[in-house]
Amino acid sequence: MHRLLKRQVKKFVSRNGEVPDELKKFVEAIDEAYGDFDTDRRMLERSLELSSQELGDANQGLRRQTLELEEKIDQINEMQRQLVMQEKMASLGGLTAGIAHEIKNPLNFINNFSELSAELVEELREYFAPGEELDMEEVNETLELLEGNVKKITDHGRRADSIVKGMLLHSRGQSGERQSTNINELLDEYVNLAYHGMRAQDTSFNIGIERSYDDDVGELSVVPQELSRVFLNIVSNACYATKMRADSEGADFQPVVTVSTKSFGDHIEVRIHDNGTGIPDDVKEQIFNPFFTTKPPGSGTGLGLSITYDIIVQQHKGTIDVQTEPGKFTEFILTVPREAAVAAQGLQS
Amino acid sequence: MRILVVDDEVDVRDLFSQRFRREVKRGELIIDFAHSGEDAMKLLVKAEGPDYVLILSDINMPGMSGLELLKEIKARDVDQDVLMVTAYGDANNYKKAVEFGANGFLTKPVDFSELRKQIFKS
Repeated sequence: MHRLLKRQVKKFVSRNGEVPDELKKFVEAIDEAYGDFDTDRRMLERSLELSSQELGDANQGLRRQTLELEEKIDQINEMQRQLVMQEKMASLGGLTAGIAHEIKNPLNFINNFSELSAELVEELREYFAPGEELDMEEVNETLELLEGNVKKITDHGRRADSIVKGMLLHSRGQSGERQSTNINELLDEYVNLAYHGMRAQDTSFNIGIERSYDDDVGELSVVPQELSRVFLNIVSNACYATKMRADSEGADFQPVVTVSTKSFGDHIEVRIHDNGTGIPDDVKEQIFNPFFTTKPPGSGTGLGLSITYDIIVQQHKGTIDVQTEPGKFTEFILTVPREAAVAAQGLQS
Repeated sequence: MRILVVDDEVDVRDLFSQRFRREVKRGELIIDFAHSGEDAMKLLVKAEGPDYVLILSDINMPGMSGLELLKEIKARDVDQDVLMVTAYGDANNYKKAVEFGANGFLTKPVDFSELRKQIFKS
């Protein structure tokens, strides 16, 4: 456009033979204006170039940051995994004595009833010895005892087996699959473990455990090792709360933990009630937060109820409600739907 | 002779009855059972209650523990023989049992030939 204009001006000038001063100035002004324009354009181009370079640099920076963040997230996930594992191991540590107690009791019966049975067999042999008059009444009595003993050995063997299974499930890192589980039995087993675990740490501490199970609860499709962790956490907390109250109120206080179940058609309810210290409002808001604990350092990971919440609400699509009055009681009310849409993927563990 | 066995495990009744079946049949031994420390105390505070040559008590029971029962029994009658039975023979329990005046300490699984000696030595 600039050159075209100049050519026109030159054509016009050559026709007349002379260039008027005004026109000269005009051409100079145009030259100058276009010169400025070129400079501006070059500057613009240059700054555009610079910008895109900066953008490229920035982009690279962002990419680097993203990678760093991803790395951090991996680290956090790994830390979380380790913490959950630590929480499991911590609660398992507290359980060891409870487990020892729970195993030794059935073992006591297994050993003694099998020894007794061997003696009974010996007696039977004597009854049938040649030359002896056969007393069928005695024979029948011995046979009945034998029958009863064999049944007891089987029962207590199963009991020991389920305790060991529960312990293995509890310590296993992997999250399990859902399976049909008798909720009353699972709850009862873990109430015993929590109770004996606590008693093993302080044998002078007395606590009454009251149980009221609704047989209609029956079996539910749940992840037993996760649910058992929930029962263990809440019952252990309940025992701890009554112990705290007993320590401050002395001998007149009678600590009681009450566990009950109830069936409601499409869902079941588990209540764990304690007459312990209760939870103040400001604490109640935080109990499900990870790492929140009111226990002295080293006594609690602060993950128990956070994990409990994940298991009940996220994994089993149930609900948790907490009723409490400071200085009087705390009650955890859990509901689990019968057709538990257990999350396809278990909790991170 | 009469003994009292205190344990929250119900099968303890069958176990002791069978282990001492001959003695019980021959009338040499009567075994009473209580399923908690509280139940045991109810038996023991009765004015016309039986005399026991020996009381055997589990330590870990819901409610009143065996150690507390031991304390109460000894407070009422320091000469009453009491054997403590426990599932885990930890040092702490043993120390407390001795401190409270227990006359012996058995761990589960219970060795009945040992126990028989203890019962019939008197």
